[in-house]
Formats: sequence, structure tokens, C-alpha cells
Amino acid sequence: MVFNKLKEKFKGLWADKKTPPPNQEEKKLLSRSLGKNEKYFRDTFNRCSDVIFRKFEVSVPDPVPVLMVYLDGLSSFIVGESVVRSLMNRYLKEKRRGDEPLAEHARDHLISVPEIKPEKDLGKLVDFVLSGDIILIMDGEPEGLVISSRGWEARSVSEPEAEPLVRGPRDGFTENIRTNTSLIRRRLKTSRLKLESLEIGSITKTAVIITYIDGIVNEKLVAEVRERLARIKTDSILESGYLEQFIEDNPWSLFSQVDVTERPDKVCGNLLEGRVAVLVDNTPFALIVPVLFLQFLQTPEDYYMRPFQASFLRALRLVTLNIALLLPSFYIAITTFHQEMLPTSLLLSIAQARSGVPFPALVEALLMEMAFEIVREAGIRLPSPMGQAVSIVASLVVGQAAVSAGLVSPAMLIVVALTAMASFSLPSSHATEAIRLLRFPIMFLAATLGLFGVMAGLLVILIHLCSLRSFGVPYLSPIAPLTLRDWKDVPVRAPWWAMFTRPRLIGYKEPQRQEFFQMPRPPKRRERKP
Amino acid sequence: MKRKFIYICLFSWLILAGGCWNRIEVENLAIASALGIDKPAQGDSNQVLVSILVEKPGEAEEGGGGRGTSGASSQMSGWVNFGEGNSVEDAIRNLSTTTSKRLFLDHSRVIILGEEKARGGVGDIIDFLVRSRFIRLRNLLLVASESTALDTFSITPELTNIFSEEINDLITLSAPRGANTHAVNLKDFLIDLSIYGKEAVLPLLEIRKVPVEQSPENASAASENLQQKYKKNARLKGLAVFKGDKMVGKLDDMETKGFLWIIGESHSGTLTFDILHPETKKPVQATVEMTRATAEIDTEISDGKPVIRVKIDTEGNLGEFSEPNIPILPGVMELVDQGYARNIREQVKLALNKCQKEFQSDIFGFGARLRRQHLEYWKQNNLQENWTNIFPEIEVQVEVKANVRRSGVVLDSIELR
Repeated sequence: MVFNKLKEKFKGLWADKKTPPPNQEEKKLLSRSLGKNEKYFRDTFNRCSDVIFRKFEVSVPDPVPVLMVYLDGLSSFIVGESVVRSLMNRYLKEKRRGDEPLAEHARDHLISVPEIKPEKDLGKLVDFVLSGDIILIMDGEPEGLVISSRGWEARSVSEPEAEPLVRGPRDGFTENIRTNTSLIRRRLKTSRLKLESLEIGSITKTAVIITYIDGIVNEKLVAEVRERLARIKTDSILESGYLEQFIEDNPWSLFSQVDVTERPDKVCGNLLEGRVAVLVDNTPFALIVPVLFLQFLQTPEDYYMRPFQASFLRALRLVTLNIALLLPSFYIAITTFHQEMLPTSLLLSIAQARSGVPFPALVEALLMEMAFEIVREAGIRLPSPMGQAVSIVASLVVGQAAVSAGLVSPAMLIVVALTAMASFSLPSSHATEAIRLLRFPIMFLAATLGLFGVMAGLLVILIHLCSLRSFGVPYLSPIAPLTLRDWKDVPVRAPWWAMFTRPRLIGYKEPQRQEFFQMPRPPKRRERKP
Repeated sequence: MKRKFIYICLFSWLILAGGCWNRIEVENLAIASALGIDKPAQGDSNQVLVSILVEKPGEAEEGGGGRGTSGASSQMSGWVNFGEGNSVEDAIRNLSTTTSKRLFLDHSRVIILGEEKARGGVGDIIDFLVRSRFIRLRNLLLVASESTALDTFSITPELTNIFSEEINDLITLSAPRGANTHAVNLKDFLIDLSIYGKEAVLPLLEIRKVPVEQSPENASAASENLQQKYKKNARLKGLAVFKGDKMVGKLDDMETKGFLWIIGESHSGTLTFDILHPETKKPVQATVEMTRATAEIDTEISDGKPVIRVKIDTEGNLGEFSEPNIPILPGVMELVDQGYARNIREQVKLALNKCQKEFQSDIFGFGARLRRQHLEYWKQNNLQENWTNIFPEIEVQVEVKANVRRSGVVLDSIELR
């Protein structure tokens, strides 16, 4: 009801402003007069100091004035040089036939650049200039030439800092979407790997690529991703985070329903399971949909390690997930409500530790948790040389001094430190932010209602998780709904020769991924060589 | 929208209605580690005196570091407080007027009854022990031998920091090795009190006074204060025998062993007895270390009278001879076996005699066994009422199968010159 009213109101505002909807300028075509065209471009790029206009003459055989427009810094210098050199060559042997348009002649015979195409539309030509291409306009020609010359200073492929692995490839995505697609293509050498390009954002015109493996992916999923991306009408997409918030199933949930990674191997692994990845230009972070909650407890490394260690680590992460979410609340609940549940000697030592503390356990816990969050944020924001200072201040002042000053008890310090370490041990910081935030309401519940409150809070979270969906796939699957077949990859990680099938709810189009029964075993007697 | 609102209201109401309201911080608790119940020395005999031993967190901690060095506090492991009241609950409420923190009984592990209280009957306090949600059924029950529960709280724990822990460990860890006491927790005691044909026993806790070593620096202080000369130690000595809810007497160490043989709760211990030297035919003392024992109580009716058969099957290792020159010849181990069995039989007889003739209290549960095996007989003779009268007269046959299996790390001992 309220929302509808607000909607009406905003609709009114929208109409009042009367801003022309973006991208609705009338189509302007290239004029035959170079002077007019030049004027148009000079007007368009008025006060744009990075646009270079270069005018020269081509003699084939009569001199024709030619205008070259490109963006300094975005266009490759080498391509520009080769274009100018090939056109200004005085000893051009090729003589154009009288009726052949100059543009066509230049494209087919003169300019030695792989990608080159004609374009009439002025608006599009401007867009090409902005994307880093060189445009070439010749006097008297109805078509300009767009010479592909995109090339700019870019970060080279380096190890992803947010997702380090011990074993696994060291390359990570960069800000250049072409590099990123090449990193994926290099791993999936199949024509079934599809890369659909889109452009989102009326000002940023950010290139977005939907990628999937045809035949494995569910087409409905691709259509849904396409549709949700097409719905976005905004002026800017600066990072994949913008997109993520536009396409989530439940935008008000604390839990992220889209996975984010800067690892090409992770993207490829997910594509092979039947997921869709969305690459966004100018950011190394790609989106992966649909995502399951338990995926946030997995790392690509799980698949590279031997299955025993990987399974152990997965179990460990389940434990740390619970510690990160519940340990402070359990401490509060037990020390303020359920003292009878502790062994006597532990209770006595906690009582002694707390004897000088002026605050109730909840306030103590909140103080320390806030201190921890502050330290963590400070550690992220500070330039890395200052990191040491943070750690010294944090450990000495916040930790030791707080205890010796009697502000907090050592037991609480242990609890907070363990919680912090547990939350760091979870692989995806993107997903654990929900855990981080939920810790506080559960602490309040624990302080008002004891373990009963903790359980009530947990139930609410669980119900919410059960109701979540990521692009139609239940968030808690394969646990709820139960898919026993997929448990080979959830509580444990089965050896590779036992992972016959893709996840049932995601990769059902081509469920089998390998031959059965490939367990390595010694050769049978008659096969053995003498 | 409306519906959602209603759901949210219902849910929050659910939470608020069922929460745990007694929020209290740990440091505001007076953590009682032991509960003592006595009859007041003077005044109304209907009143009870409840004493508590409150652990002081700091001291329990310090005790771990330098034990016994901290003068006054080494006398007591915590803080003892007591209060009188018309009932236990009342007494505990009265206690709280002198306890600055909230009394927290959940951590008490030991309940000690003063001997006078036990002899006077525990029927009036049992209901509190069952009903109170603070008292765990796993609490150990003890009777303070010839003293009050309040006095036992002055015992200094030596190896642990907490008095109740010391008593608990004494009963559960070390006492089974001597086989002269029997751990009884509240649940066992309540069962014994409530079933027909079985009487309750409780271990006896004795205060043993040990002279403190007179180090030169505290010698003068000790002579000023005579009480400082002694350090109080806890000692488990025998069992308190109940009849109904009243304590009627005590079993000494030997009788306790006999009792444990019969109920099959003898787990470890040594027996010393004489055998004849195989060559010189002189009596030689042998000690056997018991390793395993089971007992079976069987009942049967012969000539209209119940007969109880106790079968004890035990094994042991040869511990020592009092003379080194005994060769383990064929037949020597049989002699040891026989001596072992004879010794057990003697102990059992001691216990049986005392209970049948002196206390007339069936602590062995013969009646309960009879009732289970011969319910018709039990009903016909109205034994529910009469069992205590019949018990002293019934015949108990004891059959002991003793087997000494191993002779230690040597066969023959060394021969002395």
C-alpha cells in the first residue's frame, strides 16, 4: 500500500523532469563533406583534450583529404602509426579503379590491420572513438572506416589477492574483459563455450559478457540471466557488484545469492557444472549464478587436493561457520543463564576472570566484537605498510591492555579471537558478511533469552535460508531439498573418479560428466607384462 | 501484509513467552559446591540446619598455584555458611540473608548428612532433594561419621582445589581400589528408599586429624593456637546402614567388604589370610590382589521358608607371601585359592551377621530379589509388611569360587641364604 503510493509519487517526479530518455537522439548519418563531418566531431568532442584529430591527404592518385579521429591512450599507437604510414606512402603502387569508393579501396588494399569495418552512423562512430577505435573519414565518402585498435595500459594477469590458493593456477582476472574471456577460453577449448556480449549503462556503456557452455547449461537459466540483465536501465555499471544487486532473487536477504570470483579456474569449474558466469568490463570480479549456500564453504582448491584433506577441510569449515556465527552468543547464554551446564572448575575460572569486569557479558561481548570489527576495517583500509601498526595497536591496546585494565575478561578475549579466526577461515568473505552481521542479533537474543533465544534465532535463519532461491535453484540444496546424489560433493569431496555426475538441479541437461568406474587399480594378471 | 504482521507478532510472542528469564552474571553467583544437612544442636528438633560450602573463584584458582601456602585460607577450601529453617527450602532462603550473592546450588556435587540427622531420619528432607531443580540426581550422598556436615566442610582439600571435587574423586577414583566404601548417589539412595525388600546404605565420611608438620617458623604460632596443630583430612570409612529412612548403624571396613562381595560391587582390593606352608606346614601369610568379582543372588523356597543363595565368583593375582622361601609347587595355588575363598566367606559372614542380627536391615536387597523371583510367595506371606521381621531369621548360603590366576612377574621367589 505504502509502496504503491510512493511509486505514484516517484512516477510524477519522473514525468516532471522531462529528461529525454537516454540514447534517443535521432540518427545522424555521415555527410559527404569532410568539413561538416569534422565540425560535428569537433563539436561532439568539444573540451575533450584526449581526442586527437589528424588530417592528412591520401593520393590515389589524386590527393583526398582524410580525417583520423582517435582517443589518446585508448588506441594502440602501433596500429595508428601503421594506418598513417600505409596511407601516406607516396609510392602507392596500387591504383584505384575510377569507380571504386576510396573507403573500400583503402580497406581492401591499403590498410594492413586485421579488423576494419565501414560505418555511416555518426553516433556510432563517436561510440567507436570512445571505445578506443580509430575512425577514418575521407572527403566525399558516405562511409567512414572503423579500425580496431583498442589497446591501452592494463594490469597484467596476476595472482588474485582475495582468493589465494596453495595449490592451483596462479592467474586471476584483470580489468580487461578480453583478457578475462581469453583466460576462460584457454581452459575450455570448445565451440560450445558461448560468450554473449551486452552493453549496460547509458554513460559507462560497460561491456558485459554472459558466458556458459551450450548443452550443459539449462537454456531457461540463460534466458533468465539475459532477461534480468536486459531489465537494467541505469547510467552506469562500474563494478559487477552493481549488476549483482540488480539481478538478485531476494534483494533484502543478508545472504548473497550470487557468487563472485576473480579466479578463471573457479569460473570454468562452475561453467562445467552448468552454471552461467557474467563477466563485466573494468573489474576482475565475475559473477556466477546460480549459487548454493554450501558453495560458500568450498574453495577451488578442494578439487585439486586429495579427497581426504579436502573432506576434512570442508567439515572444518562447517564447524568454523558455526563458531563464527554462534560462539559469542553461546558464551553469553551460558554464562548468564545456564551456568549449570559448565564444569564446576571452568565456571569458577570464568567467574574469577569476570570478577573485576564492570559490564554484563553482553556489553563486554559487544565491546570486543566492535573493537574487532574496527580493527579489521582499519586493517583493510590502511595501506599495507601501516598494517603492522594496526596489528600492534590491536593486539597490545585492544587486547592486552583491555584485559589488564579490567574492562573485559580474558575468557571473552579468547571467545572473540576464536570467532574472528573462525570467520577468517571461511573461504568466501562475500558470503560470510551475512554471518558477520547476524552474529549481533543472535548475541542480543542470547542475552535476553538464553540458549532458547539462540535456537529461535537459528531457526529463523534456517527458515529464511530454506526459502531463498538463487535463479530458481533452492539455496540449501542438496540438503533441502535432499539430493543424495550430490552429497558426493557436499559434506565430503569424493575422489575425482567417483564424481560421475553434475549437480542435479543445475547440470541436468547433460548429467554425466565422465565414464564410470575409473578408479585406478593394478592391472589384471593377464594384462600384466612379463 | 496484515497476515505477515500477525505472524511476526505471534512469533515474537512465542519467543517472549518461553524465554529463560533468570538472567544473572557468573560473578554474581555464590557457587555452592557442597550441601550439608544437619539437625540443629539445640532448639526445635523439627528444624533443619543447612550448610553450604561456597567456592571462592579466586582462591580455587590460587590453590592450583601455591597450595597450602596461603595461611588462613588453607584451612578451608571456600566459605562456609549455614542457616536454620523449618524446612530445607526455608533454611536455604534464610541462608540468603547472610550470603551476599545469589546462591547457586546447581554445581553442588556432594550432599553430606550429619550423623545425628541421619539417625533421626531423612524422610523430611527427601522431598526437597527430589523436587528441587537445583539438585542433580548425580549428587553423591555421604554421612558425616560422628560429626555434623558443617564440621566436614572444614576439611582441607589437598589434591584438588574444591572440597566437593576432593570428595567426589575420593569416592569414585580411589575408594574402589580399597573396596571398603560404596559410592551412592542421590538417585541410588532414592531407589533404595522406595523399593520393598532393600534398605539403603551411604558411605561414611570421617574427619581424620593429621598433625601438621611443625616447621620452625610457624611452630610458635601453632603452639598459641592448639587447633592449628591439626589438619583435617577426609577419610572414607565403612558404610552407614539405614533402616527405612533412619540410620541404624555402621559397617566397619571388613563388613563393608563383605557387603560389597555380596552385591557384586567389589572391584579391587587386597585380602590377607594364612595358608599352611606346603613343606613346613607352618602358617604363612598370603596376600591376594583381587582383580575381578561377580556375585549372583538366587532365592528359593524350601520347606515354606525362603533360602538365599549367594554365589561369588572371583579372580585374583598373588600379591605376596610373608616368607620368601615358598616354592610354587603343584597344590600351592590351590591352597591359596582355598584361603582366598575362606577369607571372602568370613568377610561375607561378618556383614551378614551384623545386618541380620544387629541391624535387622536388608541392605543386600535379598527381599527385592525374592520378590522378583517368587512373587506369589511374597504376596501370600505379606512379606511387604513382614520382610523386616523375617529377614534376621532367613538362611543365607554363601558359595565362593575363588581363583588365583597369576603369581606376579616371578614364579618362585628368591631363596634367602
